Amino acid sequence: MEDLVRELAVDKHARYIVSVEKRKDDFESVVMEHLRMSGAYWGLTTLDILGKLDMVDPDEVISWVMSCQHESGGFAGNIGHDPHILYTLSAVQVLALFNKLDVLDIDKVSNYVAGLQNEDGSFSGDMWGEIDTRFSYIALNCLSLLHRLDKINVEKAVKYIVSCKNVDGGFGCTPGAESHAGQIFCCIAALAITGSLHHVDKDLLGWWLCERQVKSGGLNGRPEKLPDVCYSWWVLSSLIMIDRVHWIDKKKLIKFILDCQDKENGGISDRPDDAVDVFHTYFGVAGLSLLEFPGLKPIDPAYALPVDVVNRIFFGR
Amino acid sequence: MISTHIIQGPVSVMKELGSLQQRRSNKSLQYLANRIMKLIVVSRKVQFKMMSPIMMNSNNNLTYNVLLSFLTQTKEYLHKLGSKITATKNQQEVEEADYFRILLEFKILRSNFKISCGERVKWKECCVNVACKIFIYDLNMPGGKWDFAFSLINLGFYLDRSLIDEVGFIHPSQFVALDQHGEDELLQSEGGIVSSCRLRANFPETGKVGFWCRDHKLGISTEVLFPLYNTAKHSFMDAVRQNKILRNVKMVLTKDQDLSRYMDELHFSALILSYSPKSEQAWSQRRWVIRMIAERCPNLQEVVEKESDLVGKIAEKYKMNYRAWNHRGWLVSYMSISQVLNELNKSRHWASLHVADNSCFHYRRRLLVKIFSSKEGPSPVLNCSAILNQVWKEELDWNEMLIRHYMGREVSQILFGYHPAPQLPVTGSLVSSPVPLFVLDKAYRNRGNGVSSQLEDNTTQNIDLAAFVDNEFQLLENYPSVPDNDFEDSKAQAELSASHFSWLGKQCAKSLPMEIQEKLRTRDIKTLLNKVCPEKSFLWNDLSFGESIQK
Repeated sequence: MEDLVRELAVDKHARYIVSVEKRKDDFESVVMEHLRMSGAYWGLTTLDILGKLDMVDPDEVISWVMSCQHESGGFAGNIGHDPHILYTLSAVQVLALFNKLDVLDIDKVSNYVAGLQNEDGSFSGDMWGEIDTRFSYIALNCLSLLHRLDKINVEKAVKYIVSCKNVDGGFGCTPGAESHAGQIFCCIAALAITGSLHHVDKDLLGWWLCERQVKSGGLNGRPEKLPDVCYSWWVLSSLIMIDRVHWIDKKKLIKFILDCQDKENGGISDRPDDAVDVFHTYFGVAGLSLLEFPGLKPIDPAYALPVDVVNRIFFGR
Repeated sequence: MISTHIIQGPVSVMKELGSLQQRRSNKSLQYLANRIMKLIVVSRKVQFKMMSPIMMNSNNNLTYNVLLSFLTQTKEYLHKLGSKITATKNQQEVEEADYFRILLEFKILRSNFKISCGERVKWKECCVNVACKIFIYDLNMPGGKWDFAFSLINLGFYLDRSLIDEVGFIHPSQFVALDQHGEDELLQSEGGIVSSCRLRANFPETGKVGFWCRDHKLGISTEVLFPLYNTAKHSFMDAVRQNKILRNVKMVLTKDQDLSRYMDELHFSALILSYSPKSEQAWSQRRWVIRMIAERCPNLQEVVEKESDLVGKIAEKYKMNYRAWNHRGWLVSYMSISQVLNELNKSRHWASLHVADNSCFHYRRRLLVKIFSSKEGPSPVLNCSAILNQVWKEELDWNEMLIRHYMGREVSQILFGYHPAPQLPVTGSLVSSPVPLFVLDKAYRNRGNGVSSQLEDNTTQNIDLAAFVDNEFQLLENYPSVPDNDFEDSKAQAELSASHFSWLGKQCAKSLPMEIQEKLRTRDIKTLLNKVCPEKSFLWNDLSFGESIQK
């Protein structure tokens, strides 16, 4: 695989991400401004994996992140927007990257997240109550990073996630919903964080997941769909967590991800020759990291943060 | 009675202008024209204010006619003026805000009217028409033009929920293709009811199309989009900061008990979905609205049906839309059993035309689950277990037909490998491992609630299965020398058969009927699979399912 190192345009991708971070007023940025916090997480984690996190000014980023915090303790996607559990996790993850979790009022943030748990163990995204297993994963990830899992009923949370298991071994967004690779990742990672992977039929799910690999080597999210680089993360990470990653052809997948790069301008797109964006750049690089591509920092499949960041949080400096 | 002279006011002024043309130079003509324009605006405004109190107290029809004439006349004046005023770089004050306010006042008045539907349509089209005309003019509207544009869109949405049912963002070069009839035709006479209006609003300087409207579809140029959004956002944020409005539509609706507002919200959300069908926020907003409606109005049948149809329409345009189908599945919990049966029948035809749509089949499974796990007592439909069996049998037969028809497609695996109802009260507990349809069928019949005796022989199903399995084996064994098919097809078929077998062998060997287990035991599946798909040998070797059968 060493000969492939040259194939990844590390510098170009890093520069692409930095340029996106600087842009605030053009059409593309404006269209995404409501989820800028997640955009920050995608961009900065990618930079860290590429070993280029020093290309941004941490103080500037952190002060912007904190200005997005709402009085309820939750974080919004951007300044002046409404808080949501999605952006609360992204904010915590960004702070974790810079090892600045101490600027947070940990209890305030964790109370916001814990307050979103419902009677049946599920989690809502915000005060308006929409339930989704994505939010369960977010809550468990976030509270685990903040060492505050004791603020919620973990057992019920796990029970709810298990109730979303389908016959094909996969998971949907709510009980009875169709299996989807993204939702599967969220459920598996949540179960991994809480040490509950014994609820999963690993062969069955592994089978469904490995079927996602198509002829080009890329992975799709559901039967009969087109491959997409973001599934390189969701499917791959799930397979790793249930120890079935040897059921897909790794070389072909690496080649697919590399083909999705824009080697001239930097960035990675959902499939070869499409327009690039930060979202797919992150998932492509993270996927390559999981596949042990040389020169990249290893990433934790459950927490979706570099392994050294996770170790720092759980095992001290 | 309202005297007609109020309406005919500026006619004499227009005559003046006509004679001026012949005598003065262009520049002073323009200057004069502008002055007159302002005069007209002001005078119309005054006239309208004079009219209002009188109109409030008079006969509806008469008032309507008066107002309509007023509008039409204003339109004509503008039209005549417009052809005399050319684009200039000079600052020109146009009180478009006044016109807009006039239109709004019309609207407010209108809402007090009980006029017929047809007239209402004419009325609104007239209003929008005038508003567009104002925008069309080659007039420099410093700063205000984007606010105006935004207001125009608002007006369009707000005037009548049926005026616009679809929004699209269009590249400037594509407007030409949209205008099949060349010149846009503006509203004709007030005589007969006009069922569609065609409008266009162009940029003052370049003449390029900014907004386009026809047959209740609104097209917004992508060039307009960015400044329009910025204006809207800043207006919104400012208003929130000044505490003029509540920051969230849900907050507004929670205070408002009026059901029609919720329906309006659903309509607006449908507009959003018309250009962004995967928007999770839009779908979850709809669910919130429906939950609110459910609290106020227990009979949701019509709402649910409309929702289901909306998803159906969107599903037609955008296949396997997870969020849309998930929404439809969520609706199932609000459906009555008869509605569920109806949905099952309605979607069958569509499903057979879209066998690759996994989401659709999953939805059908949710419907089946609802039917079979429902303990509805009073429902006469479900008390009859014969009907239950009928539904079940129909589904099985139809699935089998599809499998045969679409051999070689992934869907056959979907149908073959997964049974539809994990929560079926078969064994009294959740069935968490997958069981092929036919096996479940057998278990279902043996439920012991007096059902089985009415059904056909168990053996019929098993014979069919045996034939099926044999067919699959043949495909595998004869690969790649199957005649007639082109290479790709037979490979795909063989690959699928391979996965069927690994599925069977690995997952449910023990629960299969004895004859089938026997068959699987006597064949060397692993070698066959390696022959068909050598590139996946890492998978076949690891699965080592052969052993589980041979136990």
